[in-house]
Amino acid sequence: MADQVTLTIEGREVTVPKGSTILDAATRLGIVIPTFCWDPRLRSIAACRMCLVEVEKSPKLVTACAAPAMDGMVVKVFSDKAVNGRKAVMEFQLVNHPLDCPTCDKGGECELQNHSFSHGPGQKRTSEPRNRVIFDGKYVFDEIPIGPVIWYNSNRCIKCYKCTRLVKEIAGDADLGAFNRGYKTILHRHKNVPFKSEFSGNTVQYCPVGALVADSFRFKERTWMLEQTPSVCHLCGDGCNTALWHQGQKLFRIYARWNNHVEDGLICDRGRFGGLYADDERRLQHPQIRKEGKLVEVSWNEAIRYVADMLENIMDKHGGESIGFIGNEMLSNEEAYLFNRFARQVIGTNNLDFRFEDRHLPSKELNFHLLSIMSDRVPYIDFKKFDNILFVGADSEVRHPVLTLWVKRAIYSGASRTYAAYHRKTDYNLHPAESIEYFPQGEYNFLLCLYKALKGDDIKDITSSAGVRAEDVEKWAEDFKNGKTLIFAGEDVYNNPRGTENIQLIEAIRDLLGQESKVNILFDGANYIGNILCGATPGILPFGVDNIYDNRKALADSWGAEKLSDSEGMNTAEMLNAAAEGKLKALFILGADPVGFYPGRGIAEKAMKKAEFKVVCETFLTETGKSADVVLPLAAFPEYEGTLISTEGRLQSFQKAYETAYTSAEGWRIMLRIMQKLGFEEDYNGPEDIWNEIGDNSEIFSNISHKGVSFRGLLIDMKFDKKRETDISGFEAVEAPKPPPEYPLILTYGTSVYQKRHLTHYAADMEKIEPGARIYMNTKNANSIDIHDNDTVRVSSGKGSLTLKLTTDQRVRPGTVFIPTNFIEAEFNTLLDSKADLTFVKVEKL
Amino acid sequence: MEKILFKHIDTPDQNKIETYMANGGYTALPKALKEYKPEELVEMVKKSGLRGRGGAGFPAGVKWSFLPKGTDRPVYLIVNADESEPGTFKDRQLLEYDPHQTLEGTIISAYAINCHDAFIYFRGEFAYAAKVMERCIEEATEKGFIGKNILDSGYDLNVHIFRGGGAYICGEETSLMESIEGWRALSRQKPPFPAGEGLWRCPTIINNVETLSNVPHIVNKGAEWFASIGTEKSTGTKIYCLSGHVNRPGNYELEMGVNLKELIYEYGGGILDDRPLKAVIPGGSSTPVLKADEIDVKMDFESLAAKGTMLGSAGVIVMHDGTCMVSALHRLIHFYEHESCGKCTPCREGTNWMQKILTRMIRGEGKPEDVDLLFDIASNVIGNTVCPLGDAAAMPVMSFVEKFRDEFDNICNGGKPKGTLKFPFK
Amino acid sequence: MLISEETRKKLAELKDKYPTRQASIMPALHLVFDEFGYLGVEQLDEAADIIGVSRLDMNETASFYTLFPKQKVGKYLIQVCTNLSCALMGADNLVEYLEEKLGIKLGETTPDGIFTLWNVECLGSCGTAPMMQVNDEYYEDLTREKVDELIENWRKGEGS
Repeated sequence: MADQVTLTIEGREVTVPKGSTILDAATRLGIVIPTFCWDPRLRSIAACRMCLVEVEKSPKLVTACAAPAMDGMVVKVFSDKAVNGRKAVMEFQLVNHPLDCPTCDKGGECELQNHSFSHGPGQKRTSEPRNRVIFDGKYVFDEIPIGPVIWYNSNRCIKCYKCTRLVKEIAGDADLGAFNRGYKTILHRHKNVPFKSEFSGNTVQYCPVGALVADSFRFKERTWMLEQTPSVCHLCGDGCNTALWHQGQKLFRIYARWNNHVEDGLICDRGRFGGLYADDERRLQHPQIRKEGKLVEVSWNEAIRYVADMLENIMDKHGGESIGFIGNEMLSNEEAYLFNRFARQVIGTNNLDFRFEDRHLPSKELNFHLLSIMSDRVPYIDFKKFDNILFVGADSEVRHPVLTLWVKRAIYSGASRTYAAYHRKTDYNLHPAESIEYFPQGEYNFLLCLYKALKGDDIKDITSSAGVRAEDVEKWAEDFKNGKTLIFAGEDVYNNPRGTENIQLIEAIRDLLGQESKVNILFDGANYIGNILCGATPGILPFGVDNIYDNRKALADSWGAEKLSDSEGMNTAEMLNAAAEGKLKALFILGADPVGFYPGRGIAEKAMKKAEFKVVCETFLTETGKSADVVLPLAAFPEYEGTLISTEGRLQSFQKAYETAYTSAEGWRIMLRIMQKLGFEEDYNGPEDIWNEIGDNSEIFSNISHKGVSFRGLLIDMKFDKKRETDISGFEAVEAPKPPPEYPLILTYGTSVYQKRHLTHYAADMEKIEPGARIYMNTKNANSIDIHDNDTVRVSSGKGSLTLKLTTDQRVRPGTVFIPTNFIEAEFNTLLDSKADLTFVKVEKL
Repeated sequence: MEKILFKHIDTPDQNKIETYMANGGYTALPKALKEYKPEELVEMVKKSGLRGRGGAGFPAGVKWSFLPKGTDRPVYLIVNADESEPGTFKDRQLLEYDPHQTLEGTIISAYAINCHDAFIYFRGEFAYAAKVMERCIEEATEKGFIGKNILDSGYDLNVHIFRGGGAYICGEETSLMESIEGWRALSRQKPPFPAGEGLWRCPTIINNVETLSNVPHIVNKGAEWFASIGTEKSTGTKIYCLSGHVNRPGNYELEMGVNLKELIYEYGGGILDDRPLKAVIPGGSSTPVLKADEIDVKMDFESLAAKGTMLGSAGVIVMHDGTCMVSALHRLIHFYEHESCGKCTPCREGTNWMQKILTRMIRGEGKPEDVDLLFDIASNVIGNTVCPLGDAAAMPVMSFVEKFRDEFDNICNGGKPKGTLKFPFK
Repeated sequence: MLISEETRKKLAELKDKYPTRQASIMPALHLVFDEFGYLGVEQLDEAADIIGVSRLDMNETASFYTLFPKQKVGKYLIQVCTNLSCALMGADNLVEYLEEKLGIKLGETTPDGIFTLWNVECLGSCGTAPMMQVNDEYYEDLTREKVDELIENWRKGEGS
C-alpha cells in the first residue's frame, strides 16, 4: 500500500504507516530503544542521541526517534556499532553529571540511572573535575527555587529540553527557556520572572533526571518506598487520570497516570499540588455537636444517633418536605445516588441539589437540553479535526486547563484556529486565540449578534447591547463559514438568567454552520453530569429520568418504597431562600459551603441562622460548618472509591488509596448509617454495591461493571433526544447593563486557575503560588482613579464592602473588575445581591 | 590565468555601482532575465560544474534542482556570509571590495529558483561589510535591479540583510535558518533538508558568497567556459586563503587544483624566516592536517580527499617547525568548544572534555593514557552529532594525534613541548 | 524606559516585517546593542515588548550570541583574535602587550571605564594577523607601533 512502508529491524519485518519513525516501528515490534529527549507529544529534536541505531547503507548511525522509516530499510539495534554508539553517548551524558544519586529525588525512577545501567560503559575515564553551572556570575551547586513550587538543580540537567518544550509548545507559557550555548547551556527561567506555569509540575514528572524537583516532595521519601493508586482528579471537570503516591495514610505526591485520551500525561498544578490538601492536618478530626452554643467533639455513634433523631423529629413535626439537601458536584455517582435515595426515599423530599456556586441554575428542561447536546459531543482527541474552535462564556484556561491543552495542541499543530468570547480576555499566551469581550452576562446579546451576522443580517444596531464591535463579530462569522466549527458553551452560558435562550441560540448557530459543526457543553465540577444522571437535582430522577408521576412510581417500586414526594422540589437557590424565610426547617449539607461560595452571602447566612437543624459533612471546617448544629468529618478523595463522569462525558473510576484518616468517614457511609437509623433496610458493603444497583436499573449504565470502567474510562452514550425544535425568530437584543453612577463598575467573579473552592487552600503549595485574594482591574480604569498595582483598595457595593490588594490586568474588560472566589477570608460574596442579576461596585484607594 | 572573482578586487570604488557597471557589472542580470527561463539557468549552473565553496563542495545546480516543483509555498534563497571557519577570510574581501558581484549573483540565482525574498546573512562581526551591502542594495534598487518587476521582466525580488551575533554554528545551514527565525541557533536534525523544509518550514536554498559570485560570470561566458577551468570535477577558480607562517599571507584566486606546495612557496613566498615547514591545514581549521611531506597535492575536492583530508573552505594554515602541535590543537578545540551550540550530547560534552584534556596537556599535567583517550573521544564524537560541527572538532583531533603522536606522547610523559604557540609580535 | 525614542521607532518598524515576530529578534538585538554597547535584561525586556515577542525568548536568543556583552563594558571594547592563524603571528604576545599597556588583565575593564580587553575566536581576518576588533572596526597587521598609536589616539579622544 502506498501509505505504508515495510522495513526490517533486527531481522524482523514490520509494516508501519508512512511518516512513522524507526522508533515507532521498533516499538511496534516490542524492541526497546532508549531515549531521553523523545516524547510522543513533542516534535523530535534528536538532541540526546541516545537512540542511535545502525541502518544498512548509511555510513553514520541514525537517531531512531527522528529518522523516517523507509521501505526496505534494514535496521540493526544491537549490532556492535549501534551498541558502541549508544555507549559513547551514555559516557558523554555522564561526564559532568553529579554523582549525588543518594540525595537526588529522582533516584530509583531516573532514566539516566536506568539507561546507564543497561547501555552505559562499565567504568569512567574522566579525571577532570565536573563542570558546575555558573548562573548570574555565581557557581551553583545545589537546588535553587525557580518558582513557588519548583526547585532546580542545573548540574543534573542533561539538556533534553523536554521541560522547555512541554511548557512552551504545549502549555504555551513563556517562563522556562534555555540560555547560553555549548557546554554552558542552562535551562532556566527568565531572570526576573518566577517559573509559574500552571502546568509547571509536569516538568518535574517528565524530567528524565532529578534536575527539576517539586518543593512538596523534595527530600521527603524514596520513590520505591511508595505505593501507587490509580485515581481521577476531583478538582475540575476535565477528568485527568492521576496516580496517588502514598505510604500508609500519607499522600506524598500526585502524578499524571497518562491516559492518552484524557490528559495525555499532562495535569495542571491545581490537580498535582492542590490535591495534596487531602493530607493536611487541619482536617476535621472528630464529629462535633453544638451543645450550649459550642461545637463539641462526640463519638460517631452519638453523632449519627443525634442526626437521625433530630431529622425524625422534624419529619414528624413538619414533614419531609421541610428538609433540604445540598450536595456538591464532586460527589461520586455512588454518593450522588445514595444522596438522592436519602432525600427522596428516606426523608421523602425532592429538595435536593448538588449546585451551590451559581444562582441562575438551569431548569430541568434546560438540563435535559444540555444532556441532549452532550449526546452528540466531541471527545478531546478529536478537537484537532475542527478548523475553528469557539469558546463562548467560558474561562476555558482557568476552569478547564487540560481540555484547553487539547485545544492549544490543535492550534500549535496548525490544525485549528481558536476564538474566545467572554467578558474578559482569556490568556492564550503563545497559542494566540482571537478574542471578543462582551459585557458581563452579555452572552445572550453576543450570541444573537453572531447568529444574525451568520445569517447575513445587519447587526450594527444591536452590537452595542453586547458591548462588541460589529466588524469583529462579522469577521468571526465569515471565518466560521469556512471549515468545521466546534463550539464550546461554557458555564456562563447556561448558569445565566437567559440560559435557555443562550443554548437555543447556540444550537441555531450550529445549525447554520452545517452538519459537520458541533457543540460541546462545558461543566465545571468533577461529576456534574453524573450528579444529574444519578438524581441529585430536584427535577431529574436517577438515570436521567424526568420526575413525573409514572417515573416516580416506577422508581418507588424498584426501591420498595411506598410513595415518593409529588412536590416539584427546590434547587439550592430556592432552598436557601425558603430556609431564610423559615419555611425550610433542616438542611443536610454534604461537602458544600453555601456561606462561603453562594452568590449572596447574606441569604446563605440567614438560611443557616433560621433553619432549626443543620448538618454539615466536610473535610475542613467551612464558613457554613461554623454555624452548623452537627459537623461530620468527611473522608478526602484518596480514602474512598467511586466513579465520576467528566465534562467529556467519560465515565471513570477512582480507587481508594488508604483507609480514612483523622477518624473521618466516607460520604456514602455517613449517609447510609443515618438512613439505616431512620429505618432504611438495605445495606451496601461499599460503592461497588451501589454502582451495581445503578447499573441494574439504568439504561445508560447497564452492562458497565465497576471493574469495566477501571482503567481507561468509557465515553458513555447518553441517548437523549438529539433533535429539538426551537423557534428563535422572535429573539431580540436586551438592554445593556447600566451601572448606576455611584457604583460605576460591574463586578465579575470566578475561580482561580490554581484553586478549587476552599479545599486547595489547605495545600501548602497553592498557598505559595497564590498567597491571597486580590481584585483585578483594567489598567485604564485603575489609572483613571489613580490607583496602581499592589495598592490596597476598598471595593463596595450596595450590600457590603471588602478591602483587597489590587492587580492591574489588561485582560479585564474596562468597566469591570474581577475577584477570584477562592479566598474564604476575602468573603467576596458579601458584595453580591442575591436578587439582582449583576452587582455594581465602586473601588476606592485606601 | 585570468582572475574571475578578483579581477577588479583592487579597483578603487569597485563597491560602488557605477564602477562595478563600468567594469562590466550587471550585464549578466538582464541577459539572464531576458534570455533564460529559470529552469534553464538551473541547468546551466549544473552544467558548469560549480560546486559549493562553503566547505562541503556540493554541486550548486544539483542543490537547486532539489526544490519541490510547483510548490505554492514561498521559496527562499539565503546567502551564507557567516564566514567563520578559522583560516578563511575570502568572503569578507569579496563583500567589502566587490559586493555588487555577489549581489548580482544573488539576484540571478533567486530568479533561477523562483525566490522572491532573498536573505544575506552576515556574521555579526562583519559590520562594515553589511553596511556596504546595505548601500549596494539601495543602489541596485534605484537602478531597478531589485524590487518589483525587475528590468520589465515581471520578476519581483526583495533582498534582506540579516546579521548574526558571533556564533560559528550559524555557518551551518539549519542553524543559520534558526538564527534568522530568531531562535537560539541550534542545528536541526536532517532530514528534512532545507530544499524541502527550510526557513519558516518553506523550501530554501543556502549558498556561500563565493559560490553565488561565480554565477554572473557563468551566465555571461557560458557553462562550458566555466567547466573548462580547473579540474574535471572541480571546475572554475578558487580563492585560497593563505595564513600562518608564510611570507605573503592573503587571498589568492587560482585555478582549482593548484598544487599546495606551489601555493605556499611561490604565491605565498615561502615559509616565514625560511624555517622548515612542519604542518599545513589545507581547508580551514576543521580539515585534517597534512605533514610537511604530504603537501605535494592538488588543491581540489578529489585530490585532497584522496589524501584523507578536505578542500573545505580552502583556508590554508601554515605552521613552521617552531610550532607546538599540542598547543595548536588546543587552540582549535577551544574554538569548537566555544562554538558548539550545545544541542546534542556528543558535541556539547565531547568538545568540552577534549578541551579539558588538552588544557591539562599543555600545562604539563597530561598522563600517558590521555593521548589514546583523546583520540577515542574524538572518534566517539565523529558521525554521532546532529550537524557537522562535531565532525569538524573531531577531525583535527584525530589527524593531529595520528600524525604528530610523538609530540603528544612526549608532552604526556613529562617532556618539554617541541615548539610553542607564543610567537613574537613585531 | 531605557531605550531611546529613535531606537523604539526602529524596533516598532521591525514588528511585522518578517513572516513571524520572532524573526525580528536578531535585528532587534543589533539595534539595542548599537545604542547601549551591551544587552542587559532590562533593555531586552523592553525591546521584546515593543516587537511583540515573549521576554523569555528575547533573553534566550540574546544569551546564545557572544558578540553582545551582557554587562556594561568599556567605551572601547578591544577584542583580540587568538585563534590559530593569529596565534602563529604573535597574538598571544599582542595580548600581553595590551595587558601591560592598559594595566588590566584579559576580561577586565580599565578603572576609568574606557577600555575593556577580551580575547575572541577567529574574526575572519587570518591573512592580516595579528588583528583585533575594537567596537565595530577591524585593525589588522598589528605591530607594537600601530597599537601604541591607536591607544594613544583613543586616550586623547577621552581628553585624559
